[in-house]
Amino acid sequence: MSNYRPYLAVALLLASTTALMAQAPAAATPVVPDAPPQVSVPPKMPLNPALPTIFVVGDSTASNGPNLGWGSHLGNYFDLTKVNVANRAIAGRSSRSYMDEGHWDSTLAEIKAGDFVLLQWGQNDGSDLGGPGSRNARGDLRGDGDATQDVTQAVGPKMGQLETIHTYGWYNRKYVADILAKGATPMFLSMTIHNSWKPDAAGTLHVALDMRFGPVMWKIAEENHLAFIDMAPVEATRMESVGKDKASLWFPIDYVHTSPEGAELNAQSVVIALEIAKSPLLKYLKAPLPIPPDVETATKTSETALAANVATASVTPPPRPAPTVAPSTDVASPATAVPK
Amino acid sequence: MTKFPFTFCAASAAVLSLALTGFASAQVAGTPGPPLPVPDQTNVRHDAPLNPNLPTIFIVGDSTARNGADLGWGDHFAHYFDTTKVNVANRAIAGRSARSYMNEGAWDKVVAELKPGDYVLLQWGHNDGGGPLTPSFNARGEGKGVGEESVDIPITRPFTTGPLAGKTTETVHTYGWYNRKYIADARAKGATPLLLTVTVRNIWPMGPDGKPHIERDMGYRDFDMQIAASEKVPLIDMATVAADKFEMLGVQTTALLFPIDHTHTSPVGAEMNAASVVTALKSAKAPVVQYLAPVVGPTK
Repeated sequence: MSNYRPYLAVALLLASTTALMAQAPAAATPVVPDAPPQVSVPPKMPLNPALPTIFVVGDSTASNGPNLGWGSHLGNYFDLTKVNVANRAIAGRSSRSYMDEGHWDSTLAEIKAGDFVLLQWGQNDGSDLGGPGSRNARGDLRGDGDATQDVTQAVGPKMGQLETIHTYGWYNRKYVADILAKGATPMFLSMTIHNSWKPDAAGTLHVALDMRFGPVMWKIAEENHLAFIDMAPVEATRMESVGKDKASLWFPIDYVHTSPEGAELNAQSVVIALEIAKSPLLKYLKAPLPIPPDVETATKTSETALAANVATASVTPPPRPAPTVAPSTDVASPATAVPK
Repeated sequence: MTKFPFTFCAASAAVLSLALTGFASAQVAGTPGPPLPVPDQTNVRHDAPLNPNLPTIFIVGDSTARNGADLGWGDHFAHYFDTTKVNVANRAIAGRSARSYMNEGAWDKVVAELKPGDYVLLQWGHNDGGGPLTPSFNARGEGKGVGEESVDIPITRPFTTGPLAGKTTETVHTYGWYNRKYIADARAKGATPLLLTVTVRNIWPMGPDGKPHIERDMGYRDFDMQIAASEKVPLIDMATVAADKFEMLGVQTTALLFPIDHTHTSPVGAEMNAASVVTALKSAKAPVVQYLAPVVGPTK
């Protein structure tokens, strides 16, 4: 298990205080990894065709080198003689770029009737749309609906082509349609929490729940009568229960990416959120995890907030003008940090 | 999950039986012929007894709702509901139009089952094609439109059951008239009728943008809207929900869901159409959504 390639990339990420969103950097020089060995299911482990599979489709928060994404820990909680757990998340991807680069076609080819697909998008969906000076061209139009914008791509798999870019909601609805057409079951996961704290009126520090992408996911789940597995309030409750200083230890890289321990805890948050949702996936668990105090209340509060923000989050702003100058090459500026 | 291996076997068996049950064109209204064999339903059996203490959602339509074991969306519908609170009864029959379903007495049987508080999902169109009503009108369809015109035609093969038993002439009405009768009959029994738009076909005409787009209206949309408005019934626009999904899948993937012809789906396509009905019911805030099973993750 330890002779497993993304290791070097991860070690680099760990060593770096600037490396950020996701694109796993190419390893230049060998570095002794200080991450623990892979604890869960290696990404390329063959799936038992006789079993249903739980697919994880998302970004670096779910898959960030061995052990740093929660999707690499999720298999620890399931009885793998009853279900496959396949982490198909890829660092750096948005709902759009995972499709553009062909990853979704590959994953979809693996999905069979009766499987389950956990969709978790948002961290990279606020990036630029592409065009002159773009670095990764992975953003999508904000909100939900049929709005599109045509952009001639300067980088990426559609380099030199005019790409019709859709809304965040459109891409997520496309995932749902593709999964349903396979006879499988799509489910949405709220985004993982950022290590970003703000005081309330009483001065108590809180972490914020995402209200930009979450309400769109929640709306699509609600309309299609699909599960919305709200892991965010579970994670937020845990972070707030230990406080900023201790919780920050789970975020040694930046405010988005966790340590292996943070990833393990996030996987637990997914399991607990499945328990709160009374998901039929629970029948594949090795053993149920205890639901911590306050988490069910926090989940209800989160759902109320998601519902209240659907209208705002669904709006697609007018097309942005294509950039005329190259944006800063500062790789430390996280794409999700600046509201557009 | 366990149902899929079985249903795929059942699907191929059902394809074989299509000559009897599947194709709308195989059945000519006004000439009932022998009763059609009904395969076992993998979801809720057609003859499953209804709990008399619960309200019932009846599905009344054609092969797109019930087509062999598992090929119509109506056989994929019950699992969305809390069946401790509501019965789901798929009473659609392959090959029927709004007119022929009445003529052969199938509607009378549903009316006999209806009780106050029940719901009737009505979905017609695939077999209703017709034209102007003239004395030579004897096709299986109805008069085009929603008007009050009608024409009397001779019955060449007598009905042994149903409202036309023993009659020598049939009064043929318009699509709108038949739908208004379903609505009025349901209401007379204290039930709530809901009108569904017709399922989408795997037909992709070229759009003004030079790209193929799936057909969203096979010719009944305006009639359905007029009927819904005049009779004040909710219009459950599952066609638009389904078309949006197929459009996202594209021509090639959508074709996989229509292995028989451009009208009839696979079991997976039927499941998708059932999901589209649920979405359309929610969107219309139809009262039946109170009986939906809570979203507790995968519903299969």
